Amino acid sequence: MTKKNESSSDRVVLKVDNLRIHYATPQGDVIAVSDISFKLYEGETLGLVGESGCGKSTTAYGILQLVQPPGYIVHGSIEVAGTEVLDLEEEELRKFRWTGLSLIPQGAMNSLNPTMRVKDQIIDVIEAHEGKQSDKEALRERIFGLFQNVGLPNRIYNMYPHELSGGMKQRVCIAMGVALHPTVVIADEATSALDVVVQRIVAQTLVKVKDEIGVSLIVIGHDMGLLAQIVDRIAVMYAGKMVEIAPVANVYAKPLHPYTQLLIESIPSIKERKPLKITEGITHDPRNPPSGCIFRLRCPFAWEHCAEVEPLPIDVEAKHEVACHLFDERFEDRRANAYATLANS
Amino acid sequence: MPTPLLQIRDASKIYYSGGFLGEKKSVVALDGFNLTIEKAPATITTIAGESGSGKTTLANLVLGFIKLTSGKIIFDGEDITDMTAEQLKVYRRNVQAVFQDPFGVYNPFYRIDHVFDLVNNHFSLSDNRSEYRDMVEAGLNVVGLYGEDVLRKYPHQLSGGQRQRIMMARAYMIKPRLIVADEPVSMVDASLRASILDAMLRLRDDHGISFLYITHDLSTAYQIGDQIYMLYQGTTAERGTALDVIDAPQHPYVQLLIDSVPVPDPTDKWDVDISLPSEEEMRTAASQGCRYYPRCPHRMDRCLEEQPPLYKMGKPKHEAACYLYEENEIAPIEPPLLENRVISTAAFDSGRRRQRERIAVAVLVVIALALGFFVGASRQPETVVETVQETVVITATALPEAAAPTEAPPTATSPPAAAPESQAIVPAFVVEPEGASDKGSIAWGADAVGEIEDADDRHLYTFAGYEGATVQLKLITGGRGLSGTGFYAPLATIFGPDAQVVLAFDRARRSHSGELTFPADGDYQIVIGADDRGRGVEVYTITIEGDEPAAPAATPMPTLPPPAFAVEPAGAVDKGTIVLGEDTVNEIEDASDRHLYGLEGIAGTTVDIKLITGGRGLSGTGFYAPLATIYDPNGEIVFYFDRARRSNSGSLTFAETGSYQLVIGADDRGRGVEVYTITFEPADA
Ligand SMILES: Nc1ncnc2c1ncn2[C@@H]1O[C@H](COP(=O)(O)OP(=O)(O)OP(=O)(O)O)[C@@H](O)[C@H]1O
Ligand code: SF4
Ligand code: SF4
Ligand SMILES: [Mg+2]
Repeated sequence: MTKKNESSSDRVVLKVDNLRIHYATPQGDVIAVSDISFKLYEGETLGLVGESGCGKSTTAYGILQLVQPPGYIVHGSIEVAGTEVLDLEEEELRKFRWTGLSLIPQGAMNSLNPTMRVKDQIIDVIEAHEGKQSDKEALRERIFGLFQNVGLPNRIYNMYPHELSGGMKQRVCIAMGVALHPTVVIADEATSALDVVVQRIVAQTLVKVKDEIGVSLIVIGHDMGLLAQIVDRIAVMYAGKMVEIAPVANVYAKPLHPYTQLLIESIPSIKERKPLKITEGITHDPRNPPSGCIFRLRCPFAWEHCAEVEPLPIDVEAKHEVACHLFDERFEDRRANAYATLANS
Repeated sequence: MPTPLLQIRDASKIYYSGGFLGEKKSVVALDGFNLTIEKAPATITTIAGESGSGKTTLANLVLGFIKLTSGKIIFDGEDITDMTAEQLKVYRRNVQAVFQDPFGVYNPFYRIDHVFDLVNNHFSLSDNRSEYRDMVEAGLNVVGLYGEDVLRKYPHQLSGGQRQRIMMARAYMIKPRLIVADEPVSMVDASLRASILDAMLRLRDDHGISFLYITHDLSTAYQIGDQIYMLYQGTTAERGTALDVIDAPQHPYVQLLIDSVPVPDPTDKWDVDISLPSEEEMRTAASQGCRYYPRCPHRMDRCLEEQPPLYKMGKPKHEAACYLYEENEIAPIEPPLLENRVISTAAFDSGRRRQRERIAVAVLVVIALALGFFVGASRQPETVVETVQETVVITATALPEAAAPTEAPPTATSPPAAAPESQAIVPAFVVEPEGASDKGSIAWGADAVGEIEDADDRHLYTFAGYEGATVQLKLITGGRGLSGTGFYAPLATIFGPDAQVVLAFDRARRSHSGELTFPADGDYQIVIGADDRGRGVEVYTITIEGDEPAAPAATPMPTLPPPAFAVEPAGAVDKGTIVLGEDTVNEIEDASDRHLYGLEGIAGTTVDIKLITGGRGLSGTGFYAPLATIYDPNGEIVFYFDRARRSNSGSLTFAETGSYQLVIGADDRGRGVEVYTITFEPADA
């Protein structure tokens, strides 16, 4: 039984095009995000996954124009509901954050100001954008409304963060993130620091709030189990590249990109004991990526062509694209072989 | 019988906090914990549980980093607390640690081989250079690495998985008998975890090294663990083989935990929806009885009497500490074996008693020390277990309204959501308070959880009402879930002080809520019983929410740690005096620009301070804001804002009457701010 609306519309609310972000280091630029493009549809929850250091958070910060030196955006385009974010002036951008785009940052719950009451932190977000609110009663009601959205009791209004549990703090962050009804909310590892029980509540809160307020959501995470439960599509990143974007059901049932396959295979299970499958992490220097396919140093199916030509995203079906030469029609035989190997292993 | 490798018996660890004359608090991190790891074959014993359950405390105890408050840890027949310096040295060799953050333990400026050189120096493994190199290579090979690939690299050039395996290799070289691994894979990506787990398996199987594997991740425990101990607030909720416990958990907490592990299959979504817990609060649960009582859907009065012992479950060594299994045999606690001598049970028991007494004395000593003198009184100090909990109510997803049962059409007589003022309502069904079992009182904002067996089972709760005040009542039920035609729920009737029905939930619905405006002051009663067809319910939660009329005093401002940055008044530009209630607005150019404001304080009065900044806006890490420091008439710092945030607020109670100073400067990275507004308002005006 699936209650979740799979029916995210075809209206694009966020369009990232050819975005490239570098971090300058004395030994040369680290390519954190390498010419990625993707779309986020209205009402959709998109999961962004990949191993640590693959550029997930940098992508999020890039979208929000929050990349901090020595990081910088080399090129690209980020369009939110028709607005080109990269063209915004500082002041417009400031307004746009929270209202157009908002971020629930990694470790958000630790970013709450310990010396400020919960209410004041939320009032800040509101007042910073809408000016000082004279109707205190209305403001209070509004905050209670937000509390209700995220399942917090009103009694925390006057509390300090240290008086809340981790899950409650995380929900305060969610409340702040949606306070101004942004078009797009990006939640960076919003639940990773929490216990499974609390994680589940927070994750479901996030999706519920998303539906209620009608925002579109990008969930950055590494827990494939959790993402299976809450997202509509999954974007898989590897070393700064987007290697596959697919509807969630496809990703788990028939992952296409060899790296996605690896990710799916390594999902830990509490249902059956499986032999351990050992792999190594990103094996190239991020300043000096290999020619051709970014994954070829770890890919079991790589051949000469992979070293010569970079695979571009190929549409395999609606809203599903994969960047691997195996899905190029010209190499159909190779793909069949690769899959046969896989089936036998 | 050979002595086990590790025996932990009745181990308790209490942390004390609270400073000078401050309120003394103790946190029981581990409570009467027992564990045995046999010598052979080598095993991986998992300690799992939620954050704060005492896992790390246990690791630190076994590693000898901290001392037990009471109980024993016996390694190979020797009590580690009684060890001589010489024995301890041997112990430290035998018991090695691998920690969570594989980066933290490396010095970033040294190549990897340095890690091994340090070990060699410290444990004098070998004087012979080539023999030593072979040892390193052998150690690396055990964990699936090769010296030439890693030894000349810097830590940041390796993946998290490689770094963690190097820590295993390092531990292995010392040839320990036990490795305490505290969350060794939690900072490593899933695709790389396998290599670490594999290294553990090799050390166990090929080299006879046992592991105490501490984790909150049940899936890895399931994949490689032998025995598992599920901790809940410092006690063992359940233990057994990892497969038995995870496949068929018996303890209600463990069941919830395992049920909450997300299934990596989008076609098998959480088919239940959460009713967002309306209540999660700081609870102070008495250390008496079952620790899980406040959250347990099956709790019984019995559970409050004393902590449940471990009962035997069906499978060998599978035990759960829960009174639901009271019929089962209690699992015996084996008396510890010391150097092959069995201590008689009687001696052990009296030892336990003595330890309890010792806890009491220890608490007193700590209090006395903190006060600076010894209090001779033999008062038993209050020990509280303080945790911040989430009350979780997971219920099946509501079906659409249409799915309500058809057999008992409730609509016609369904009561209004709230009683019209001073007019008693006539519910279709009333649950009578007579003969109901008294379940005590419910506080506003708290929730009560219970189970209704059948039509004869009725529960009575009392709560206080204040005339004119309004509360939200919420009754959520779960458990057996769907009946044939939809959800069902117990009936509930709420009686006012004059025994009039003031609100009723009498629909066969999964969840009820309603608002109640108290017609009068006094005690109100809720009686909950089976549904209108006599069916009980496995779990119900009833919650009363509202702003209590006599709101508890706002919590005090936490004391500020010393400021990281102070803004000095000397050389700051004098900007005059701040007027209470008025905004002061200005701009800070750069690091050399500092503003000084005067502020008149009257001893005992409190002001709310707010510093809002705007303009250049967000920095990469978030908001930034100018630093501000407030000095009292004596030049002491009494308040400050020193975080790189856009806005800050807090409150200050003036200690004396006189002239206070506020100095504002650029942020800690020297960046000015386009606009700042600072406001002082009399508190609670
Ligand atoms: N030094 C200390 N002083 C006071 N309380 C402490 C101290 N160390 C731990 N505690 C408390 O003891 C309890 C158990 O802590 P511990 O760190 O052992 O838990 P844990 O299960 O390892 O948690 P996590 O998974 O978050 O690491 C917690 O309530 C914790 O707050
Ligand atoms: S393009 Fe080649 S190397 Fe890259 S993933 Fe596909 S098969 Fe592997
Ligand atoms: S039933 Fe009782 S003993 Fe068992 S877990 Fe619940 S409260 Fe504890
Ligand atoms: Mg821990």
